[in-house]
Amino acid sequence: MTAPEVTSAPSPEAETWAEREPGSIRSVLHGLRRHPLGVAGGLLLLLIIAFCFLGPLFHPTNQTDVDLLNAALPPGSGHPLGTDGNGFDVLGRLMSGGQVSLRIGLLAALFATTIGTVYGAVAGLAGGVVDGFMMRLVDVMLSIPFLFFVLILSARFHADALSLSLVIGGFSWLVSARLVRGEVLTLRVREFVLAAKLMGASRRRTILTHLIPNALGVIIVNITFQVADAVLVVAALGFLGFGLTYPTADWGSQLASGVTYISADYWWLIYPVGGCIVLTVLALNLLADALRDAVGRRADR
Amino acid sequence: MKHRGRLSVALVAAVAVLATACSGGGGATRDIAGSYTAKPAQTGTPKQGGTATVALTPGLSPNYIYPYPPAAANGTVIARGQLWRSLYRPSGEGDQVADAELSLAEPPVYSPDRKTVTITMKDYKWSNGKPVTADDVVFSLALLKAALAESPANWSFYTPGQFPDGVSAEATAPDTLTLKLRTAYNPSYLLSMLTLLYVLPSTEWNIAATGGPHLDYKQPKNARAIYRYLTKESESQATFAGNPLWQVVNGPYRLKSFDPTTGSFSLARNESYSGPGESRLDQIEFKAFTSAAAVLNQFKAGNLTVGTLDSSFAAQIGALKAEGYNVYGAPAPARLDALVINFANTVGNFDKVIAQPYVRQALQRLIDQQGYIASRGVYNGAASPNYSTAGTGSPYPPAFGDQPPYPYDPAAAEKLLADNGWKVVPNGSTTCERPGTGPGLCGADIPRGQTISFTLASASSPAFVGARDVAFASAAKKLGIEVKVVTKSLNYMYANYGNTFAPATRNEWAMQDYGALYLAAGYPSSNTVFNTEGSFNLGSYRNAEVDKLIGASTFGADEKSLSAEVTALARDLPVLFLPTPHTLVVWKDTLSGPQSSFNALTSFLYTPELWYFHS
Repeated sequence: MTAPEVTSAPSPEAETWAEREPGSIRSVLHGLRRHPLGVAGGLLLLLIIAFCFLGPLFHPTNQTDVDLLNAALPPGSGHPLGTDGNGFDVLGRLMSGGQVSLRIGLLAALFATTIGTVYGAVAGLAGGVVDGFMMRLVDVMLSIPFLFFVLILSARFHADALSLSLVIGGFSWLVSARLVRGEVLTLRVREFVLAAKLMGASRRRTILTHLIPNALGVIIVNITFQVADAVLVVAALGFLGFGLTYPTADWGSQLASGVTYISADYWWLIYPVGGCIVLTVLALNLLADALRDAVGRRADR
Repeated sequence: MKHRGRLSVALVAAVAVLATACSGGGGATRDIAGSYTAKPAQTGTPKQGGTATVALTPGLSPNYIYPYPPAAANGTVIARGQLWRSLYRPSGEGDQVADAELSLAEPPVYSPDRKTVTITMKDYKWSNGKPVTADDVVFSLALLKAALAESPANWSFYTPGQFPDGVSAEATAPDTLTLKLRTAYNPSYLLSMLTLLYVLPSTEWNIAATGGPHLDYKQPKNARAIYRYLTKESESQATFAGNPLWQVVNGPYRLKSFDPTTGSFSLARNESYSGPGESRLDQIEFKAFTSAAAVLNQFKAGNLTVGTLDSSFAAQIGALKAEGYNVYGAPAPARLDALVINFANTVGNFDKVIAQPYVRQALQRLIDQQGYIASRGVYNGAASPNYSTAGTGSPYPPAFGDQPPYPYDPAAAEKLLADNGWKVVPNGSTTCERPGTGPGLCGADIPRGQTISFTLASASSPAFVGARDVAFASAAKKLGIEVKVVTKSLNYMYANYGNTFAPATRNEWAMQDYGALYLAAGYPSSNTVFNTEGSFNLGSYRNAEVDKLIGASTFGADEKSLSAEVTALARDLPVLFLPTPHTLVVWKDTLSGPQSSFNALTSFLYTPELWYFHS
């Protein structure tokens, strides 16, 4: 009797099966269509992205040269949302600040999700002592107050967009790791994973080819939340005075700057940027909630 | 569930943002300064009693009670000058060193060679009824020397070899003190030092242990033991109000309570106080705050009687007056706002570049003082131009008067660089293209291709600090100079940014803006600040000519030499000068007192013994 041919290539049947798995990206997008609020969130997010990245084409402004004599002007001709304390056009500042905030949010989320996904998948698949050790490490890191840690770092070091992304991402992967581990724990006992193992697929190949693709829905949902979280963290740091500094702008620093003029009633330095932060986080949360429900419904089936 | 919670937080944040900004408005630029320059007159028929609530300077909550906290304690002293008076009370007016009426002694009398000083004590009493004597002053000087023997950093006004070094004190009679000086001092400078000498009870505090024997404090060894005991006792914040040591005072008040958590405290009248002032108020409550905005809110709520605000809140003067407050504002005497230069920072050859006077002159010419003052985003009119270390309205003005040597002129700044071998690239990167020493060349040790790029540490509060620093960075950028503004907390800067006490961090900052530096009002000598060996020479500035002039103003007889020192410093630019913001003094219109007592609050000198409530 000859041994069956061992191959790690998935069969067409396995592919179809994988597509139907609850966490797969296509199934999630399919489920998303049933959530009008989620679609609205997605559209709002697209609108905000367009505002930040395409807006400067239609409303070009000088965001590097301070204009003292035109500082803190109320909304009027030439400056639809007025100027800030340094004379920068607020509308243009919202766009450039939004670009930075979104970039940091996305970069931090990608960084966090990449680390968290790999970490969680390895822990979930390994199981046993390795899993226990890896998860306790996550627990320990989760017990460190993030804002406190970041404030200490920023007191000592000068933050730029990249370092801020890495620091935020470096702390945010913990949640991703837990989520992906949980997903892997359910996936690893599924037939197609067992089949792949029986056919001799290596652990690396099992993780990359079978587990992560099938957990992609969860991962995407998590990325969306991570972006929202990162945008809020950047805003919080900026608000506390430890965000990015001239000539770079971010929404948190803009809001902090605006709040210092509260007593002077310069409302245009607070409403617009506060609204941008809220709308962006709201859009991301609506989208993420819908994505999560879509993933959950498929899983329930 | 967690994400639903996050959604709620976002919505709550939205509501909060709308709520905080709901006051609307934002009118046109107003004549802010015109609304607070008139000093409200003393008024009303005094009533006996009442409690005044005073706002402490935000972020400076007291944590120490002994008047000379060791450097390691990073201490802020409770009610400085109200529990224990200094030998001479500093003047809050700026035109004189000491307030003769509120001082514990008559003005000093000098021998012809100025090396012997005779001081006659006034008839003041301790709270236990004993007279304040010359022995108490001798005791105080001995304890100051003991503090400096422990560490020169224990007194930030100390320059090794100078006061109190070489000063011996003797009580030639109970009311007569004789100081023998190894070196003759300028009388005004010595007086400014004596305003810092707090007179302490020699017969109660001359112990090294609770209930221990009374020691001969004239022996340095005993003085050190006493100093250690007193500073140790001062570490116990919970016992500040209860420790009998601290209840023996010569000022108008004694400590009634202290809250170690917040730093708030209250003072009760010293019934034995025999100095000027009726001390009509029963109690003074000093409240600690972490932000100026919180102080403003408490004023608006009517919970504060007296306090100060920085000029960021000048737009609120109308609202405060409507709440029944008097508001008076002015630049504090001898206040200096500046970008402090770190001449020892070697990052990117900054030390080599900034050593060139023409570079400093070019940078000073980028500071648009009038523009900063007028800008609604910086001072909103509530500041005065200043180009000297003596501050505005000093009795020792620089020789150039109101014609500063390096006024705002970006074109002149560009020319200065171009004329000295730099290729100026506006909004790019200006580089040295003619290295070497001599006319028209960049200067010593500056290589070809050198750029001008440095870090400016900017305090996170008050708001005008960040605004003026960004304006400076923007102006520099237009000249191809990169100024990296980094925001730091004030406490971090105080603890880490000074080459005399934190040399390890000297490459972290090339310039710093921590807000205000106060020199001695009445005699604003830069001794300790800009002399080479000065204990507060934060940026390692050194200039032999300036050292000589500081020596003349410190030791010479001619008081005009201080003007020469001020002029030389303004021309050499150890710092880059910024406008001086006005300090706003706010008090309820039911409280009154001499105008000078409220004016002194711009220098944070409190004289509540002169205040009273009226109908």
